[in-house]
Amino acid sequence: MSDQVVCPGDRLVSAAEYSAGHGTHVRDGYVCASLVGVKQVTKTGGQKPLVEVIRRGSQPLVPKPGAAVTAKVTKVNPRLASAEILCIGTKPVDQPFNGIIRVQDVRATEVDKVEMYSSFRPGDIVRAEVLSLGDSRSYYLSTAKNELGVVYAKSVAGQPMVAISWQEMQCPQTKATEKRKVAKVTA
Amino acid sequence: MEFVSPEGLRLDGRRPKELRKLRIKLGSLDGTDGSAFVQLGNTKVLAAVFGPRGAPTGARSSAISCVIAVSAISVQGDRRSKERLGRQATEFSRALTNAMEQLVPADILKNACIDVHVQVLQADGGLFAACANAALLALANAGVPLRDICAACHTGLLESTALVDLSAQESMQQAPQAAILYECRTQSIAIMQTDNKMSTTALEELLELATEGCIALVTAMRQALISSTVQQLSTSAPHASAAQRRD
Amino acid sequence: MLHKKAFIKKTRKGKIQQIVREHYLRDDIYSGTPWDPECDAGAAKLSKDAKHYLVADTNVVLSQMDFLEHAAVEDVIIMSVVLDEVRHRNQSVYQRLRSLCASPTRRFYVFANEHHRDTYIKQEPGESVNDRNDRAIRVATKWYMSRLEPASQADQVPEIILLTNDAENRSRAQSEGLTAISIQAYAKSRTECPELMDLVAAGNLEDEAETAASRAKHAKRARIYEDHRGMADITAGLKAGKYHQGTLRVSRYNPFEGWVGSESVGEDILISGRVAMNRAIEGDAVAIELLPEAEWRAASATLPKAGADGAPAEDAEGAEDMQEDGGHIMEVVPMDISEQPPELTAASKRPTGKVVGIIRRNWRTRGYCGSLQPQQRASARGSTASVLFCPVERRFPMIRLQTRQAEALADKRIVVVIDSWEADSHYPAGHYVRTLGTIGDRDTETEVLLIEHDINTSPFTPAVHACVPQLPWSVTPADLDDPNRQDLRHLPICSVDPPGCKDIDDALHVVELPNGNLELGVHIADVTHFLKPATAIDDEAASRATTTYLVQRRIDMLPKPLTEDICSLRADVERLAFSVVWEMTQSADVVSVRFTKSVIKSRAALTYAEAQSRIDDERLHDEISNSLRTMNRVARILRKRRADAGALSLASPEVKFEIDTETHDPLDVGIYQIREANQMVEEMMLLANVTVAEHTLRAFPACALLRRHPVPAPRQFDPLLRAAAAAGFSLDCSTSKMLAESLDKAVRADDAYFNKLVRIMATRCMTQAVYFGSGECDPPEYHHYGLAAPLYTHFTSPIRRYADVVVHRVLAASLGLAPLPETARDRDGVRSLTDNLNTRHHNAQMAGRASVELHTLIFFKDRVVVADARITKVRSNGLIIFVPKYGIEGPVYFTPKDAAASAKGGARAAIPKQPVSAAAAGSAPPESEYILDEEKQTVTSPDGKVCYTIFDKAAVRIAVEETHGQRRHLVLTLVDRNELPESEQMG
Repeated sequence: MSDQVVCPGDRLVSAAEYSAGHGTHVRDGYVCASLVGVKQVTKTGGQKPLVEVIRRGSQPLVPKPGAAVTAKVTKVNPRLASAEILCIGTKPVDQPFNGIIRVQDVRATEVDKVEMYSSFRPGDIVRAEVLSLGDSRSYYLSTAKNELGVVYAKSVAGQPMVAISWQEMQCPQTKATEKRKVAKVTA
Repeated sequence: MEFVSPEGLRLDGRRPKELRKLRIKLGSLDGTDGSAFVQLGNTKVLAAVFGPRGAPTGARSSAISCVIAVSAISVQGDRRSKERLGRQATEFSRALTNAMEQLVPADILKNACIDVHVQVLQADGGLFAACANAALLALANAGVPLRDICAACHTGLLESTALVDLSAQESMQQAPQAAILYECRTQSIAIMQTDNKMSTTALEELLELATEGCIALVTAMRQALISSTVQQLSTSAPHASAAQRRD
Repeated sequence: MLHKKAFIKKTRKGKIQQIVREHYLRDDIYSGTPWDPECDAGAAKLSKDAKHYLVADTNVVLSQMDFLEHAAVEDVIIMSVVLDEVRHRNQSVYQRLRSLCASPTRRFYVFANEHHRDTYIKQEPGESVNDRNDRAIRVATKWYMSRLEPASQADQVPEIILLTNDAENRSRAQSEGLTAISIQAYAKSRTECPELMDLVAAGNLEDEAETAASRAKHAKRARIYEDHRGMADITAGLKAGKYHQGTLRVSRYNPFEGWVGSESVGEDILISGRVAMNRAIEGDAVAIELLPEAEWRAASATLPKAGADGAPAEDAEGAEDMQEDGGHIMEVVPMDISEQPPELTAASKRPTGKVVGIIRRNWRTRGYCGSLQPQQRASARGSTASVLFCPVERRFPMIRLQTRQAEALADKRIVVVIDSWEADSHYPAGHYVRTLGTIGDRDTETEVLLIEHDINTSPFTPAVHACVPQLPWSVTPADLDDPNRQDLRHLPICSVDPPGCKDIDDALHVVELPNGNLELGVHIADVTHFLKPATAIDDEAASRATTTYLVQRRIDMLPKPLTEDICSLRADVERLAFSVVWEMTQSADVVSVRFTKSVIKSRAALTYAEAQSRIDDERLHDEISNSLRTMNRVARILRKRRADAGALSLASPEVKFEIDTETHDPLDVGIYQIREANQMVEEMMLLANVTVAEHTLRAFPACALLRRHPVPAPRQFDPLLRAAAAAGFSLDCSTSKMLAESLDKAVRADDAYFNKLVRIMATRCMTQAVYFGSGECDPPEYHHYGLAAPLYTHFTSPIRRYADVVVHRVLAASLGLAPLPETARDRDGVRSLTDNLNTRHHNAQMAGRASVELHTLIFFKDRVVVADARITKVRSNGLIIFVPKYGIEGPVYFTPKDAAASAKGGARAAIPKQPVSAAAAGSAPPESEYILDEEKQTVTSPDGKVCYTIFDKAAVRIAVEETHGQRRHLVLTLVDRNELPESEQMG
């Protein structure tokens, strides 16, 4: 097994024949390791095989494009909502990363009719997907999928609300409804 | 003073191109994301990595920060000499930070920050080379993606003989000295630090030797990284199978 | 394997620090014997056929270096623990040991036992460092025994012998199964080589059995000298201001009187008598204690008398104790107090002190040249005899030594080194090193003076010769194509040197430019083209530092092909040069200057006389003569300008010998004639040197090699000023300009030589000019006093001076032709370089003078000459007389008693055992005292009839006398000036 253990900088395979996966990078036409770990090659149908380096032990938790994250909304203005990324996948991070959900990334349909205030409120817990690395401050997050959006929100009265539609949540105490971009939580 | 005897031995019994004994221990600190202990002769340093983690709000000059701290127990002598060493450490920290920014892929550092803390436990010669090596090992140990493994090595031209990895006694001399951080894959020098006046020919000689030293160090560092991984694999089999499943 | 060595160290500032160092042990250190199957054949330095391998312990190495250096001692294993100890204890022995180890023929093998896995040992608790080191040597010796494996039954492996004079170490070694013997026993066992026995240093001479007896003998003997204080005591005393430290300088004329220059006292401290010197010798760094002021004395006003360095040799042989107790008391207490002039004034008293301890011995490791005191009773042949050795340099005391070859050495010059000096012994103890040759033989005596002045005469090593290009050498097309090298072959260049000069460093040219200005060129041999830094030849040249010129011989700095051919700017051949070219107006104002490497072809190599006659001969209008005349005109202007700036025109009593080409004996001797042509060349060289100094300093403010001449301290002029006042003229020494002017005025109508005499004496008041790195001093100190130049260096003689080589390199670097050598940047390196240059330069000059003295002696061997002379010093019992024609200076005594005594003791010059025919008016009554008047610098006979004043004219008869101890001396006798032939009158 030790012959498969590679170190950062080690040339793994030619980039022309393989595609670089997790824990690798491409340099000078070669896929090179970025991590200390075990080299693994996965055949993907028809395409170039994927080369990855799998690390033992803890993985560094950094949001990556496409990753599902759980974030807490901190500020909302008409153009965007700021959020702190609390979990990446199922793993909590030590210190929250900053993310923003821009108005055009809130939902997939009727994008120009989105109102930020009817989608998120500060304090909401949101499930989102990392769209890109964003600007120098924040990751860009997106909730433009059915299963993404607010999963937990408190009403004005301070009670956790229950989702009643994909656009509304209701306070169990006051029965008042509030607008949200609600995630469709499936079991 | 005779630094290399005609028999070809240095004061401590090494030959001119021999490194001091190198000891590496990875992951010895709990509660950090990665750590490395490096002992090069009597120089002992401990490096720990925190992160990558979300950058705190507010502007930051650098996404990666490396701080070398010279602990009070590391050197004998009065406060002034410690302060001097501290200032040198600050200077070297900056250089090392710059070098690491080049080494860690940009996508990792985009909105995250990494803190590397190097604590000098015992100072002998080649202090900053040991610090750089420890910092790099700790980064690798933390699983921070790196473009390459680098190593740093200190050399000096004493009595017109180029010596690698100077001991404290040797590095006290007012002789040309150069320390480099060398990237093996690109064959480039990331940091160069020189002391005392020297001619270009002397510098060339030193750089050549330092490169050799770095390559030897990289080999040893790779070995340490690989063997620690292998050890993990053999001791924690369930994890290994978990990894297999993920594929 | 790795060991940590921890030890406590006291730093220079007095702090206590714990130091931990790593100590690596290895398994790749070989034994160096062909018998060891594991030893790499290439590394086997020891011989396979040796009967035994020797292992020397530290004390043997430290004290028996001469023994080890003997060619019969081979196959020696030196443990690194010994090397380390030797290095800490004595650097010069260490150097000698290192060169032995480096020698390919001697088979000294260094075994790094301290770094070998099997031979490294740790200090046991309770074990002293010395014991541990002794044990380390034994362990390593044992290891060696185990390494030697006979390849077959028939083979006889060498025995390993541990040489140690420590009885305890020996017995331990023997109990561990090693062969250990003392050095004496070993030397005795080498019966085929009896001289080994003589080389065994004294002090270790007695075998243990005898030691007890001799100790008892020692106990009985009275202490002659006080014990030296311990180092801790001295350090404390120095700090408290109780003691003062300095270097002992023994007077050249009186070996019982010495001076210690001490910064803490501010003036030189007189040490009078050998008891006060307390076993310190010339050059030792000593700690002294000042005597109470009541005991202060004046410097001796008399010329040295009785038993100058020692003693009549009546009872030299055998009864050594007797001799030491009685016969030599004169040696130790040379002057009666009554000898002090009774009218001793407070002013003439000098701070007087005594030596209480020795900070650093400066005993020469190369030894002292001299001869044995003749013995009266012949010793049995081959038996060991105790004899006294008398060094040629009178400043050193006699040395007691043991030899078996006393008879054979009786008429030889030998080299002896000092081993020790016990408090109960009048003389230091030493041992014989080697024989130079028969006393009086010119070559032997030349050898003596070379050794005395530490001049390296050994031939150049093959490695050095390998750096020299093959002869015949000529300028290559590559040199001509070099864009940095200018082709100056078309210029009318010529060189002007003394006759017979083969190492021509410099050549000159001057041409008129179209614009009416002059182009003046000084072309210096491009030695650095052949002498590359960090080569064997460069190291050798740097250590020799200068060529030494003796009367009949030249000891080159560079190998002969370079000195006489390849570098030498000979006539009609193309040579490489480094040129300085000025454009100057007709009135010698410099318009511009450039420096370039060049190729030149000298049209003529002239002597000074030839050049002078070409200048003088109006009929000659060839290119060379014309340019010589132009050059002379320029030189005159420059000289005038320099004189106006305050340059001193000094004088030296230089003489020139005419040497018989076959016998090499001097045929004639006379004052070295200085022509205008000499001054012309000198002026050009000065200009070049100053120009280069300015340029290099501008380019490298911290790395230029310069030459400075410090302003003499006013008190250095005191004797001259006193003499001048007595002679009725005044000198102003405030600045060099004032001095130059007042020297010009010091003339006497009736004595044309008077002015030169004053100049010679003024020259003697000055300090030596020295080389220094510009980073060493502050710019105001760069000043050259004698030349009145703010900057000066030596650029013009790279063939014979290493300083010039360095300057060439720095200049080349400033022009971007070559990188600045590493050594030129290193401050410590520059300091040790300049120190060596200055010492070697001084030594070479001194050797040159000694050679002149030697030839003067040879010249006067069969001659008695009457010559014109001047009085340069007056003393109560005699005069110091200077003979300009022969450059001789020596004492003349008034009374035969002093003279006879002095002759016996061997002053350099003394008067024969006949009554003095005192100069003008008959002989003075021998027993009466002459009266010395310090104020007027006169000495008057008791009856007042005869009076000598400083600077007076006199006449002397010069003859050579052989005295006891086989020394030959020039004897000066005052004669009436009427006896002086007209032709001999000066000026």
